[in-house]
Parts: sequence; C-alpha cells; structure tokens
Amino acid sequence: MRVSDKNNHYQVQSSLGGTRKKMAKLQEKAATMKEINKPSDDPVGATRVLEARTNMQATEQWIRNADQAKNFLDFSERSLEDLSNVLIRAKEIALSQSNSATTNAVARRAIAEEVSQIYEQMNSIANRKIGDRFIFGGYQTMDRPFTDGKYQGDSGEMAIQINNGTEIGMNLSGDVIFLGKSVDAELEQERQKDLDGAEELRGPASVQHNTKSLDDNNPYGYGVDLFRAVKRLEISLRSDDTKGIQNSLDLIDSGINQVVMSRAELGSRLNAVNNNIETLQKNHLDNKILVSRFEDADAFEVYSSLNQAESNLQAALQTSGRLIQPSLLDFLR
Amino acid sequence: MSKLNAILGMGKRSMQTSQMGLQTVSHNIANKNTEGYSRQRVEQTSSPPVGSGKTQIGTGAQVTAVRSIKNDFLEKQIQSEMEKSGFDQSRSENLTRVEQVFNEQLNKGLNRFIGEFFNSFRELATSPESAASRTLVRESGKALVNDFKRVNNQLVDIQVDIDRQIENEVQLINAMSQEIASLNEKISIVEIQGRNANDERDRRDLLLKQLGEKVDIKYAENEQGQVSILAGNNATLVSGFTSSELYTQPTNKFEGHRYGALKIVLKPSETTAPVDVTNQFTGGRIGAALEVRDDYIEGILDNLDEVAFKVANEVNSIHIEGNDRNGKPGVLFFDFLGSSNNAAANLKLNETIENDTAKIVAGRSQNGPGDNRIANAIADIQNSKVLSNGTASIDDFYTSIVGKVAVTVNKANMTAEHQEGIVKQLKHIRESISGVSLDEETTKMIELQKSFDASARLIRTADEMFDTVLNLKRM
Repeated sequence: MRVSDKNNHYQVQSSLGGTRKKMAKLQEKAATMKEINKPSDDPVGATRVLEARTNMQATEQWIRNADQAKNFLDFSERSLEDLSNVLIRAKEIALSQSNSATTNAVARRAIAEEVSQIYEQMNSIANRKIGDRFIFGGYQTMDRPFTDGKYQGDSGEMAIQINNGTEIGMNLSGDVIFLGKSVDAELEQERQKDLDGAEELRGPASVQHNTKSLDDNNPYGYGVDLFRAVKRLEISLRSDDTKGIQNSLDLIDSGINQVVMSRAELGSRLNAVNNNIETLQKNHLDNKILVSRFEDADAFEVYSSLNQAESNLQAALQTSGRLIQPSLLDFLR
Repeated sequence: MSKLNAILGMGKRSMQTSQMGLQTVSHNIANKNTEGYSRQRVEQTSSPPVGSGKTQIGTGAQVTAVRSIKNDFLEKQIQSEMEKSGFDQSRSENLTRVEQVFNEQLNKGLNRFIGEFFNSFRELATSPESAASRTLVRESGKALVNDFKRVNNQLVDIQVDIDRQIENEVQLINAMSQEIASLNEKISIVEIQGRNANDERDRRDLLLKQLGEKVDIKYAENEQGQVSILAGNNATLVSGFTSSELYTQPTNKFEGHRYGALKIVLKPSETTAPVDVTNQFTGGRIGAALEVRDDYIEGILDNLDEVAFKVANEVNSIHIEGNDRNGKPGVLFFDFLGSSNNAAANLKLNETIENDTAKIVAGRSQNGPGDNRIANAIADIQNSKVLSNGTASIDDFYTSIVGKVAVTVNKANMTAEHQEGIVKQLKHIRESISGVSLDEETTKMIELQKSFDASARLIRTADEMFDTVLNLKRM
C-alpha cells in the first residue's frame, strides 16, 4: 500500500485520539469510582440501579414509618400494662372485701378511697398522650378521649404503611380496651347468628361476651366497661354491698382478661412490625449491594487499566514522533 | 531539416516538460495539506518521430495532460458513508444531551422527587395532626412540580437548540450549493477546451461530501461535467449554473409542536412559491436533528406529560374525597388538568394548598385529626398500576423512559463510532491513492531537476556543435 503523508497523519491522529478517549473515560471512572456515570454507559445496569434506588427510597420511609408505629404500639402496650396492674390491685381489693366475715363496713368505706384513686389512675391511663396525640381516641387524637368514663373518641384505626401494600394499625381505640366494644360489633353479631352458636373467632374484647348479663348497662353488648366495673366496686364498697362487690369482682376479672387480650393484640402487632423492620433492613442492604455491584467501579481494575492506557499513550506518542518527522528532504544536501 | 536544429528544439521542449513537471511537483507540495486535494501527475508521451531514410528518429517528449490521481467510485462511497456518519454523529450528540436530562447517576432527578412526594404522604400518615408533616407534603409537592418543569424545559431547550443548529446548517448548505454551482460553471468552461479541471473537481468533490454530511443528497453529473443536486426527495439545490436557497421559518404553533419549531422551506426561483421540504430530509446532520427534535424528544415529552397528568389526576381524585384539617371537604391538590397535553409544563400546586397547609387532606372523616386514610391512599398511588393501560406503576413507567433513553443513546454512540471508523478507513484508502507523499515528490523533484539539467546541457552541446560547424571554414 502506498503511504502518503496524510496517511501518516491520520494514523497518528486516530491512534492518539483513540488512546486519549480511552484515558478520558478511565479518568472519569477513577475520579467518580463509578462504573456507570450516565445511563448509556450500561443501560441495563442503570435501570436496575434506578429501580433499586426508588425501592431504597421507599424502604427508608417504610422503616421510619415502622419505627413510628413501633413507638406508638410500644407506648400503648406499656400503658395497658399499667392498666392491668391497676386492675389487678382492684381485683385484690374486691377479693379481700368480698367476704363479709373478714371485713366490715368501715374498712370497706376506707378502702373505697383507694378504689376511687384507681379509677382516677385508669382515667389518666385512658387519656395518655405521645407528644400531643392522645393514643386511645381513635382518630380523635387532639381531644381527651375519656371524661368521667365516657368515651369521646371514635373507633378509627390509624393504619401505617410499613411495606409495599402492608399496613398495620398502630392504635387500639379506647372503647375497645376500656369499654369492651367488639372490634366490629355489627359484623360480630351477624357472624354469631350465622355460626349459630358454634365457637367462633372474636375480637380481643369480645371474649367475655357472657358477662353481658352481669352488666346490663353496658351499651356495647360485649366486653366489660372497666370504668363502670371499678365504679361499681367503689359504690358497692361504700354501700357495703357484698353482692355488688362479688359482682364487680367478676366484672373486673373479665376486664383484666379483656386488657390482656388487647395487650396480646398490640404485642402481636409489635412483633409484626419488628419482623417487618428486619425484612426492610435486609431489603435495603440487598438493594445497596445490587446498586454497588452495577455502579461501583473496581478500583484495582480501573487503576491498572489507567496505567495500561497511560503506557499505551506514551508508546503512541513515541512512535508518532518518529513517524512524522523524517522525510527524504532531511537527507538531501 | 537540420538535425542540429532539431537537437536545440528538443532540448528546449525537454526543458519545458521538466519545468511543467516541477511546477506540478511544487503544486502538489503546496497542497499537501489542502483538504480534498488529489495529487496531480503530468502525463508525458514521446512526440511523434520523424522518418529519415530508412530510420525513424525520435523528436523528444511532450506533455499530453495534467491529471488528478483519484478513484471516483471511492469518492462516491466516501460521500455516502459521510452522509451516514453526519447523521449518526448529530444524532449521538443531540441524544447525549437528552440523556443528561435523565441522568440520575450523579444528581437528584425526577424519580427521586416522585419518590419524595409519595414519601411525604407516608410521613403525613404517621402524624396527620402535625403541621410539620403537612409543610413537608407541600414542599415536596412544589419540588415535584418544579422538577417536572425542569425536565420539560430542558427538553424543550434542546429542541430550541436543535433549531439553531438547523438554522446554521441551512446557511452552510446555501453557501455550499452556491459554490458548487459556480464550480459547475468553471469546470464546464475549462473542460470544453479539452483540459482537465483538476482542482475545481477536487474542490467540488469535497463540497459534495460536506454537503452530504449535512443533508441527504442525490447527485449526478452530465456530459458537460456539471452536477445537479437533489436534497431529500426532490428539493433541487443545484442545477447547472444555478443554485436554489433553503431557508428556515417558524412553524405554526398548531402543527404538532409545543413551540414555534422551525421548518425548512425551499425557494426554487424568484417566481415560484416556497415549498416546505422539512419532512423530506431524513439524512445527514439535519435529518438526525429533525428526527431527534420531532420524534424522539416529542415522544419523551408525551410520556412525561402522561406521568404528570396521571400523578395530578390520581392524587386529586383521592384528595377531594376526604376532609381537610378543619373538617372542610378536600380541594384539588394540583390545579385541574383537562388532558395530558402539556401536562408536565402546566402542572401546578393548587394555590389554596400552597397558601394554607391545613387544606391538605389526610383523612376521610370530617372530624378526626388522627385520620390518615387519605394520606395512605395517596401514598399507595406510587405503586399501583395506573399507566400503560394499567400495566405499569408511575415508577415503572418513568424507569422505562430512562431505560429507553439509555439504550437509544448507547446504541447511537456505538453506531456513530462505528460509522466514524468506516469513514476513517475509507479516507485512509483515499489518501493512500490520492494523498501527497513528500518522499515521492522530492524524488520526482530530483529526477526532474536532473532531466532539466541534462536538457540544458544538451542545448549547450548543440550550441558547441554549431560553433564547430561554423568554424569549419577557418580551419
């Protein structure tokens, strides 16, 4: 092949240009330590990374949400622990005062004061807040849910998204815990009719539905109105009404069960949230690894290719210098 | 005829041919770096011999032509490959700019803003009473709107910039077709006299290649050596000695463009009406620029509008179902969009919401500060399949846009590089045939100088021979 001067120049240009281009690319990689600096560097990898990033972004929020729900559930659960302790104390009192042989009207009246205190404690537990939110008011988080044993909240359940398509209620409404309302009274009644006496699944508060007869004034049908039960104990103590004390003992006993059921419900939700947080964290880590696998450059590889490109460039420069310089003219004299 | 005289004449002619050769050598050397130049060679033949008696005797050499050394088929091939290369190059350049709009590798892009927007509703769901989380919703809503605008504007900016490129290329095309028309004239004047218009042809070949790089052309040469050029299908740029001008005009806003994009019109002559030739141009830099502007970016803008419209619509329809912080029925979250037309550009937070975060709806019930059902429902939009006839979520759809851009740019870059390689290779071959080699020219120079010297010596010898003859009498 005939080689003209332009051929030489093209040769030099393209070999130098090519090496420089390669070096620039490697330089970029070395500076960012990223394999993918723009989507077209690796279209498949870039979309995978983008998906993973979106996922991570949501996951981070889900973890935050789950933490929040966990706090709320935790605090509710501890409040119910306090509640059941108070109720146990009420039960002890009722038990000790139910037998006329071991006590008398004066002692009963004296101890009624303590029961009144218990009533107040229950009231304060029922009106507990996280920050400025009442935890037992359903959606009514800004107003006191209980005044004098009357429920002013609603049965709203604050569902929190803790994973894609997974929501968990972070609260139990006060009427379920304190007034013994069934989680879904209407549904429950209908279901009971359908099942026709068969043993059925019930909400946590409806287990003691046979206490209905014990407290005809309970407007909700199932479960125990804890306030009424304690109030009844107090009144019975004050009026020295042994039958009444015994009655309220049964009620309080069922009430403790009711609180235990609610605690169990909260506990199982807490468990679910904790498991979910673990899953989310694992997901997050998996995504991070995926992103890194596609996106991060292998430092060793980048530097060794950079070195190689550098020596390539040097070689190209050297040969180019030799290729361009001499012509016959240099040797004519 | 005196033989001595013949020697003198031959010496003179020989000096002349060497001189012409040397002149061509110096022309070659001078044009060593001229783009598109093909080395020239003097074609020399022996002049017709004369008979004398039984012998025939030579009469020296003569120059028959000065010819360019080039392969016309190769030139044509380079022309058509350069047309493809121009197309691929421009496509890759413009697409790379589109890619930059969607590059979320190094900075925050629309995808993150969409995610943050829905996350803010998740946050709101955890504490619907709090003013802080409402403010977060408003701010992330505003940021989302702004980023839709940013992407939209950046894409439209690229379209506007492509218009400027087109304007520029059209001017260059006009200058080139003018020059080609005048070269046509020169070539036919020179060649009608039986000479070769080497330099004019070199220049014209170069111009044809450069013209093809800008727009797809077809050309043919007639017997007079004039080329006619058609751009696109039938836009006659050059015919004989005359060239027609292209120019750009803003299109009507309703011709399917978001703004007054440029169209290209051809004015064939003073008397005929201008013709819109925009759609004919499918090759070269202009072809690629038009494709990116009208098909590619428009397509992405349509997709973007679809996303913006869907986000606004879905969020709005859920938002108005609930009641706000004060128990009033929910208002629209974004300003109402009637259709996806220009949705990304027109997306806007409802002013009521912007002014008062209490208007943001978190719950369904009228009186329930802790109610978060609407916030949850809005957060769920992110992962529900609301696009592409219910097969893709907003994230899926957006990711697929980015994926499409990435693949297209990747392919375009590779094609451009590949095509550039082909052109380089062909140019290499061309230079190997037509390029000037200094070594060669120097050798030629020495050779011609020597024969020039020898011819001069010949004349001196003849002169001496004359002297000898004239001095015969004195002897």
